[in-house]
Amino acid sequence: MRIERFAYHNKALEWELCPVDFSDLTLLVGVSGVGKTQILRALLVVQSIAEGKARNGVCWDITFTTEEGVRFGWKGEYENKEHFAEPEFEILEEERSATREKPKILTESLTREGDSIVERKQDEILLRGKPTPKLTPHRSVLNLLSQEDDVAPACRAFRRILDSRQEVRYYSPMELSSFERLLARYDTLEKIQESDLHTHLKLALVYRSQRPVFEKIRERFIEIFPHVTDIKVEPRKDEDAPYFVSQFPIISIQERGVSRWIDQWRISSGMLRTILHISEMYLWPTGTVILIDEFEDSLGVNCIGVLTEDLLQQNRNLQFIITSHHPYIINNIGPKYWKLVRRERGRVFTLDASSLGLSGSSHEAFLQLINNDKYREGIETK
Amino acid sequence: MNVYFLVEGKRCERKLYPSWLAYAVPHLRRVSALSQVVADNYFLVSGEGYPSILGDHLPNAIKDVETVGVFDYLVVVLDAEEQSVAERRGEVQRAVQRSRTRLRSARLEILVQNRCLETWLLGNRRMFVRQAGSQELRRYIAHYDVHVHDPEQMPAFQGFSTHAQFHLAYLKAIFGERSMVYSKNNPGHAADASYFEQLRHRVQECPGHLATFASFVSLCERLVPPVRQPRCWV
Repeated sequence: MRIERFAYHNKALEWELCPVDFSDLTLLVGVSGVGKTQILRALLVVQSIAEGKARNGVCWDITFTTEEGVRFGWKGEYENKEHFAEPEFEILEEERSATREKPKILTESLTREGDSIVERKQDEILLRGKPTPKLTPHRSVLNLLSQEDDVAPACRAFRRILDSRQEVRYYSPMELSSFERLLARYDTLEKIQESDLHTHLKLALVYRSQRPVFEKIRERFIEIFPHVTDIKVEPRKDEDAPYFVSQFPIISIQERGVSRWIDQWRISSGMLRTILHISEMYLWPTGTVILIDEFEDSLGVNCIGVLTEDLLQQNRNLQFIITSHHPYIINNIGPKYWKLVRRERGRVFTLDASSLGLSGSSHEAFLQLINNDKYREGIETK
Repeated sequence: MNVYFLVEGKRCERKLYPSWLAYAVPHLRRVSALSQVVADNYFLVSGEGYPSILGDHLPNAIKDVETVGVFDYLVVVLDAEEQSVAERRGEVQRAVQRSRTRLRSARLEILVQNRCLETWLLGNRRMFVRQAGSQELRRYIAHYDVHVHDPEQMPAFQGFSTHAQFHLAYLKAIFGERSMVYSKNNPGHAADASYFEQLRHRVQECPGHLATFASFVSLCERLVPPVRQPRCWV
């Protein structure tokens, strides 16, 4: 999937994103509070709508191209129910359905190469001009009609949006038998890449069954951290470890001159992020859209440069949408890929570097950016 | 006359200097891109406190000045902090000599804020409150009365690791006494022309006080074009 253009409006939160065009690599820059992170979150909200979740008060309009090169336009609007809690505040999805009516979709449309595939207005859904049987008003047509030939590629595309920060936080212990079942089910690299599994789990699978790929990840990591001699993804063997920990493969590294392996809870957060970022490059299929908020987070000078290079030089048709405040990243990614995010009250919009009127001086790009008034005065509240 | 300002900048310089220049050198207009520099313009780049004003920003500024070729002055503004004014000036001069691009077309002006911009701002006697209500400000005044003595000569105060940190705290306490707020992001009243005028008054009233601020005033005076005498036709 490649996201080309995206516009979004959350009426419940009075937060609007004006249309923004994305390239293969987009670096969202702007002062704190303009809405860079919210743009990434909005994309994840639309992904959740594609998966069948109802999102109160949300309007969206997204244009994207699938891996097969088919261009889709998908837009829609949910009703805005007053005092409707955001899903983040609900502990269980079932709680919501049991107690309250979900918001309904008011309008929705899907086009394929400009041709209308689905049109929805209130209770009526037309698939290629023909009415469908009555379907739930709470879920998107992308989810409801995901088995239709014309809709399926668009639906599949949304599985290719990866929230990288979640990947770093993820840890979900499982029984060894469950892991063995995964190993049997995902027995090729392609299957592992195509799966929706977390990067950590994918890494554990390639460690067991796809060693050449694991070796590439290992070598790249050791290139960045030469004091590391080895990485493994295995259950801990300590007898005193809790049962669930002892069963689940965890990432461990070995350092030169240190006999004991360092497990993932004691690996520095920058090193752990580096392992997972490298893994993402190899273990997600071509056409994945990788969202990384605060790319520099926890990364030291020894890894930030290499990982920035990887973003610029990747050749697996991945799309990156990242945010950063870091001079090194902003300088090295360069103005061509910047989108300056600005906000006027609840309305967020982006500017290309070419429209910033950068000073044209010999100073590095980051310094020109932070001296630019459009950057500095990025939040307008009057 | 065109001027290129490179300020070390810890946020407030980029607000104060344009305000003060608009008052002190009104014919000089600020431009945001080098291509807009024509006549009587100034271009200001702030390092925003990011390191390497001397290592990277100064050589780049010299390159800009020589590429554009129409600047009369390159003004480098930085804090003395824990060093002496002479030491800081020496550092800048050495950095200019090290620069690959020679500075030929413009005159170098080094403006050292001794110890920092807030030190200058402490010199406004109108802002000063003799009978301070806050215990904090009373302690500062007891340590060193900036109304009487030169703020640039103020010794360090226990509990602050640098002079600049103490000077900022002292200034904030003075502003607080008048129910005003000073911050590096929002210098507030300090950016007003009247504040600048009070500092200039202090320099005139107490010769030798705020010596580095006096250099800035002197620079402003040099930037003002001489008034042309009307020709008399007989």
